[in-house]
Amino acid sequence: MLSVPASSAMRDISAWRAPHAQRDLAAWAARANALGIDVTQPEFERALWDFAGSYLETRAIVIRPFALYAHYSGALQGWSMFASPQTEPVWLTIDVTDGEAYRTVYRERSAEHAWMRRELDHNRVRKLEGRLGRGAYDDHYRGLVEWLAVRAARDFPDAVRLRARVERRRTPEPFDDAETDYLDARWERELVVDLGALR
Amino acid sequence: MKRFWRFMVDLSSRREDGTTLAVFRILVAAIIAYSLVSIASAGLVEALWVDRAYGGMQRLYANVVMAALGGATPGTVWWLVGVAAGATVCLGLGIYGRVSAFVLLQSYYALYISNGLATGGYDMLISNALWLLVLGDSTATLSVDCRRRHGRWSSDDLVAAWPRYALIWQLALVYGFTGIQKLGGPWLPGNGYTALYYVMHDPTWMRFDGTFVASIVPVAQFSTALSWHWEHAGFLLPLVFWFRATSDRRGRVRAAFNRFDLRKPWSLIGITMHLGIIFMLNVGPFSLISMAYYVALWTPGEVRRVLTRS
Repeated sequence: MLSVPASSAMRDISAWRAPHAQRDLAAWAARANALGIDVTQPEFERALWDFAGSYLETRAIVIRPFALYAHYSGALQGWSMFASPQTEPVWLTIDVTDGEAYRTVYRERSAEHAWMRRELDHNRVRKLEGRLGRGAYDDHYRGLVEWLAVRAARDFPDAVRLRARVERRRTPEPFDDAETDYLDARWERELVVDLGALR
Repeated sequence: MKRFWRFMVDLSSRREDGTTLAVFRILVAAIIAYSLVSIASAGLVEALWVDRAYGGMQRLYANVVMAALGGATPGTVWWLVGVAAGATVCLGLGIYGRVSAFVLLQSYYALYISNGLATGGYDMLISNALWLLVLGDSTATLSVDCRRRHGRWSSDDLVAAWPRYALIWQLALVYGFTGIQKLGGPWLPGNGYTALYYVMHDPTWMRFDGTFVASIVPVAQFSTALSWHWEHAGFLLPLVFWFRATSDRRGRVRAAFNRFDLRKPWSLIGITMHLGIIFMLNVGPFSLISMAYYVALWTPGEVRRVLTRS
């Protein structure tokens, strides 16, 4: 019973607004149209949102007798893995400045900007970095950036500020010979931390 | 209903020697050791599992064990890591199997469940494995416990077979349910099976610069199609075992299933897929713990034969 699918993302509006989710919803609405069901994407989304709410409420009632057992035994179930691949992933980028220009000290998967790479490249931290492109996670993002700022204050004695951002880029379409590199780069989620206060 | 109940009683009463469960125990302990060492060697124990109020990265959840120990402070977390490490060694060596599995389960679970954004399917597979090692007798053979009891490292002592069946059931649930949840466009046949092309472009998972994937799109498509259909086939796994166990009965479907040992192609595809994941993507110990469950597909006699040969 516990393995019957459920995810908090099913009722997380920021997850529904993510580009890959919007793309999936548009595709499913188009499939419904092709089957003769006259529905626009917003109508389809509304109906699915309502269904997800009822589904999760019903599931919560059904699993209630087993939930306590799983909670204490650790026998948890929930197997949503790579359910909807990210088509516009994000790259976490950390810059510091001594008061003049910013310089990049960390960028995801970069060998050149590799400050704190041992920690930030670990698969358990990558999960958080990946989620920054899928939903809000504002408090978690702030937690990560503030934790990095404490280390930056120690590792870069001359730096006065740390800036964290994510760069969102669109993965090129498969078989597009003209475009094989990422496209439409844009910066999001800028956070700046004053390092002076941390020393 | 009565017939089903009788079947379940019969199934849970079966006994077999403990070789398969013992090998599974050793593999699980090795994977947990890897998981703990990888976190400690990356300097992430406090970052991930200590609460932000005490220097960690996030505000954390304290389950009943963590709360009883005073919350996610550095002292508590390091104590739990130490206990988990000790219990891992005991479990691997087969010292007080059920007790070490229980202690390891509670310490490891208290740690990973505290930070929901730093955990994954592999942790759930690990805790499910540990729970079955608490319920099953995994130290009947290939263990220090066995050596203490019989003066030798292996024995033919019989143990309940149902924990092994439960491991097979767990495999079916994991693959079946992950398969039916793959509804994102790139997974679907009508969209050209491009999911893994996109996954390999995502910095969250990639081991190598994703742009090279553009030159191997057909390989990515084939891998996507294979894994998507194969995962759905996970639901058929219990049926394979049911037909094998009732091979004396009649039926065309049963005969078709029993014509070949379907465990072999199913495992071969699974292992190939997981080795591909290990090579191409960084998903932590997910592939390792998944493959450890495959041991349960083989009877103790079959596992013993492999061990004897090697």
